[in-house]
Amino acid sequence: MDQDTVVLSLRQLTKHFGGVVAVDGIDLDINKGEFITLLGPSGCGKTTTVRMIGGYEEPTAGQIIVDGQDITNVPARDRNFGMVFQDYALFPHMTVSDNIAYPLRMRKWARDRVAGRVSEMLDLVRLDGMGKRHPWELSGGQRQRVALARALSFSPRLLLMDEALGALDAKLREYMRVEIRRIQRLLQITTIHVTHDQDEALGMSDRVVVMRQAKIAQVAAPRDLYTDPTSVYVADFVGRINLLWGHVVEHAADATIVELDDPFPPATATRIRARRTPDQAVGSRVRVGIRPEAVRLVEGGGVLAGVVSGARFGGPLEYVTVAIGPDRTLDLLRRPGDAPPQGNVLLDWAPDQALVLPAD
Amino acid sequence: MRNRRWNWLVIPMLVAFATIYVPAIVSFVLISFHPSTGPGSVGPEWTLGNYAKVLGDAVYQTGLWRSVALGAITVAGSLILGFPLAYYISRYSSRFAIAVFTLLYVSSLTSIVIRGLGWITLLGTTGPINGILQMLGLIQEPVIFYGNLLGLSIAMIHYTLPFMVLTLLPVMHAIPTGLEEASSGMGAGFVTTVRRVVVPLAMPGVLAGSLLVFAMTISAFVIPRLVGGLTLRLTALLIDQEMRTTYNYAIGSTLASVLLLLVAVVVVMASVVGGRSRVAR
Repeated sequence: MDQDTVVLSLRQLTKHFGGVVAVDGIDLDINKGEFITLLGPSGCGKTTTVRMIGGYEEPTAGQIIVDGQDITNVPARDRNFGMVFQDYALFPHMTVSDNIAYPLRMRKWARDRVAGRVSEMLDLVRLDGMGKRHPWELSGGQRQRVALARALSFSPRLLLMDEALGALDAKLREYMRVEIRRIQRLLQITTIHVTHDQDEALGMSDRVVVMRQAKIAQVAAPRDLYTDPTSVYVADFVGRINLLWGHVVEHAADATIVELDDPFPPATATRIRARRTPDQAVGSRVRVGIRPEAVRLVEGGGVLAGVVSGARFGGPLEYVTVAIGPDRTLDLLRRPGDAPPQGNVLLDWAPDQALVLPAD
Repeated sequence: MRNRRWNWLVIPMLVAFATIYVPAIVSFVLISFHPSTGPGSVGPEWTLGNYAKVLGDAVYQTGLWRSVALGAITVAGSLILGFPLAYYISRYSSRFAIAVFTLLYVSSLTSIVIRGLGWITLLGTTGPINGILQMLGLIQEPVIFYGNLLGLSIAMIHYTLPFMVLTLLPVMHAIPTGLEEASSGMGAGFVTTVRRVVVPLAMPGVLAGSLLVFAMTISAFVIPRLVGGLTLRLTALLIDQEMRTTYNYAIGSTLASVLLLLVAVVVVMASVVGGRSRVAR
């Protein structure tokens, strides 16, 4: 797999709907064989973006380039991209086989070649023997797989998926994530997937494009996105995070010192050591972000003191909420002990786990 | 609503049908099996003679064939005009589409007599349609529209078009636009998408609209009377003649029964075809 060959480039891609800016000048390069996820809340422009790539929406401005060729004005039918729609868009009057054969018949494939490919695809998505059924005779997960098989049957240049797992229940969704990734790796097909589900985005993708209000907030591999978010928005959208206000006091050799804003109870260091972030100037207002799983309960010392105000058991892990000042709490995630902690506690974390983020 | 609790809501309709419409139908069907005994009366004995006469007589045969032909032409015409129109209106909620729809709807509210008379003027040998055709040099002599199936079909298609479109619209609306997008994304052009996706899924509406238009056309009276004139004798006009001019109730009832049977046969045929192409959702 040439990881570094750019297959698809978006250049200042823009879409206006009347006066509403749905997508605002997006630039993005997608590599061959990559699984990319556009992640964001509803209305952030992710679906419009993937629909423009597919040719279902005409860009207001900007370009879409595939293999060095500008396809911005090429109609959907000539793009040769597979698309899995949110509601699957299976043809209800055709059987599963006819649905999968549809793009092949459009390409005037010979009859036995069509039949061969259809049975290959049914095998691939593990629906052998289901070819004669109609979409309404299938479960949600099976329909999803038919839609995937249909989108892949003609060996498209790109696979697009718009909230393709949204209609499935949680268990099935998890299973399909693995299935889709298996098939994607097998075919080595460049894939652009749209979702609002962060677990899905982190669990399936090579890279995640986080979108916010018609723009790209950050592009990164799932791990990097989680550990090195560049904004409060991304840190908060991807996973859970505790956010404290403060300002930068000093950049030490191994840490950035931040003075926290709020008044805290005694035994609390109001100056904390956080990950060294020299691009935040001394004196600038920042948010300090700490993931709940980075916060530890300690016997002595520690960074902050607080009072346990609640605990929520969640199977292998439990969330503990600690009040660290008036109207301020901090969540921590830990393996449940014999009993949840109570009363006064001391909290600590490694300086590197405290992210210094621009205040926005 | 699968709950039987609400079944009583159909009672008013059933009562009205049972007391008014069904007796009317039953009575003329019964009359059709009795011999005529002079103007306005039938004898007590049972007979199939009326049917033998109606189906054997050239005037009645021609009337029936013409009615069926007019029905078929009108269905085809209103479908050819109505299908693209309904598709357009359902897919483009533009101001123009709404204007077209409103125009169509309002025109369907105009009195049928006025529309019939309007067509007589428009289709006359010195009327504007002949005038335009002659001006364009398409014809030398005026085309005669009055008193034949050509003019009558034009007027009937105009009359039935709104009903066809209104029947097709909800079915068209129910076809998700995503299916057409999916089709084009897989390499199909517009015509292919319409042929392989839109038409099959709109079939229930096409059948329902065609049935409605067919039934309306073969029983139509006012427009055939006005535009078809006295020479183009359709079954509906013959029924009127038997009932109100010659007072031959037996033959009038028999013709009405034959029309009723004809519509019933078409409905059954359509539901067989419809059942085969049914799409469960």
